[in-house]
Amino acid sequence: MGSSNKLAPILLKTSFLATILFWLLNFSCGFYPHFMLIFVSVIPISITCSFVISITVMPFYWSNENNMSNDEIFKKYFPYYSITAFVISAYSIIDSGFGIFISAFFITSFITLMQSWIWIFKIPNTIEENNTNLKNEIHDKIQ
Amino acid sequence: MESTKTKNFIILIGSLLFSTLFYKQGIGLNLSLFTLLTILILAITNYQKIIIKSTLLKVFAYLITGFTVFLYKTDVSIIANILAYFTLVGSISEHKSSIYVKWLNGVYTTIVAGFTIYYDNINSEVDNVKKKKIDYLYWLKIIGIPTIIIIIFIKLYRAGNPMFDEIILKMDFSFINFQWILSAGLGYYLLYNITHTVTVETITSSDIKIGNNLEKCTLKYISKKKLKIEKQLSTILMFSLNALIIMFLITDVIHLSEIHKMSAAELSKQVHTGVNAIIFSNVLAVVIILYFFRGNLNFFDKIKDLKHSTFVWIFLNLSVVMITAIKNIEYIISFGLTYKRIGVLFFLTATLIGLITTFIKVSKIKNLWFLFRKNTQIAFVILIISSTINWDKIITYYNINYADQIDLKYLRKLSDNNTFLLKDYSEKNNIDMDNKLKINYKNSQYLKKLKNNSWQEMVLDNLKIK
Repeated sequence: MGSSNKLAPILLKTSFLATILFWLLNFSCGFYPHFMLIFVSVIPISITCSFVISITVMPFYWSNENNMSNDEIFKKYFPYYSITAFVISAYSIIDSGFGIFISAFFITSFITLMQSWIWIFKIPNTIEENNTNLKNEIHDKIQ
Repeated sequence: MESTKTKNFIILIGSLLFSTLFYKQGIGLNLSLFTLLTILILAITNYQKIIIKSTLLKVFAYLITGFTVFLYKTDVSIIANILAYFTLVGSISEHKSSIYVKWLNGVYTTIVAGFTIYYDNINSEVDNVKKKKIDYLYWLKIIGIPTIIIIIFIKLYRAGNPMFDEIILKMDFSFINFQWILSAGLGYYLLYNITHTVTVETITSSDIKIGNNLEKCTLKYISKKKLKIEKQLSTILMFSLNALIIMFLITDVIHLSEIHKMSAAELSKQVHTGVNAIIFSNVLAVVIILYFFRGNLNFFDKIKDLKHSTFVWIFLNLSVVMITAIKNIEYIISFGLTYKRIGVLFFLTATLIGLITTFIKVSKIKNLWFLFRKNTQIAFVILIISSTINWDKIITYYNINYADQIDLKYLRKLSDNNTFLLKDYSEKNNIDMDNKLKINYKNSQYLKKLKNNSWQEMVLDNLKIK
């Protein structure tokens, strides 16, 4: 489904979003690290984002057995995914006693994951985009 | 477009209030005020949905729990308030759904409605066009111009009136910082979500489709011969179970007449063993009944015997519940009220209701969903009602006035809601020094806590102290 072509830019976008959110939340709590730390943190944040999205969100995209549209997959699975992600995040934050780092981590994860669903399952809305997707799909099938 | 702007403006004001109420604050008056704020915002933004009778009942329940949090903040009242909130939001999402689907929709709406709406918007061409037309100038005007004018007037009035100048100088806006703004952002997200409700479409639509009645046409065909065998098996089992429970009841009634001769430990053991037995026997009773009346047997011609024996069994199970309740009440009269004993009474009430709804299910040929729906609904109502009761105060009041034995250690360990009552009791009665000192300590700690409460954390007891 042209997923490999689609996944890379989405992972880049989510990593960027997660880095901004994570440090914004840390700044708000009075934690101002060295600029280099923020810069280096992009690497683990990107790895974590890519890993979590690849193993928790992408399977819904890849295992589309009934040829459901993006919208149908989103409507069917997103509610349960979001509720589960919320429960895990809320539990972890409460369990940590509202620790700054843990709270920032889970709030960032939750928002990033929700946004990644939107980017992944967004219906291509231009003819060019549709054609590119179709080409990728055929290319994937041939390979 | 105009209504969207008004909606956004209301949510913006609401988010600022949200941050004022909750930023770095404990729970108290703020949760009650947030309850009012939520209802007000929902009433303004979703008027047509909120005036539906069943939704109004949820508003009432939410209002009660919000008020209760201010009266006596307990864990039960806070949990009931949160649950009532999800129920109300779920009811605004889809009022025809079952209560557990309302909870699901309530949670879903509260946590991610914004994302879902955003997803729908970017996938809709019309909204894409709309998105480009966000009127930034309008927002600049509506926020910027009044702010500038107000600042100018404040400067003028400060110069003209020294008293006004003093008040303005005393105003402390130091609480507004980046975290406060983030908290307001969270409030905006929350209020935006609940005013733009969404549903879990698959579950909600199938829940609405499934009624409460068992329809013959939806059942798989089973031959008359098979049904006859099943009916015979059910009747024999029901008659045997009835005989067994009658024997159990006779021995239990005889045993009940000797209850006054029992020691505390024996009575306690009796009540708890009885309750455990009831849990198991009633769950089993309901499961067996549900199995027999799961489908075609409900529509079988010669089923009167089976139905009657089932009703007798339900009635006899109700009698077991009653006898256990009597034992528990006897236990309370002798040894006072505790949470555990109240819990037993609650469980017995729930069992009673469960048996009654099972009776209705069998007699009116209802399906399994009917049982789930009604029992969950009743459990919710029980939770709301029980959250309105100040249990710690009632337990303390009952024990110091009516119980044969008073366990002051237990009463001291209850929440702060009984502090004033205990203090009063310790002053008017002769109690040992150790307990007196500990009650005084509890009282002084509570008073300190009340005095340290900010206006957002206030509870009714704050108004009682000078």
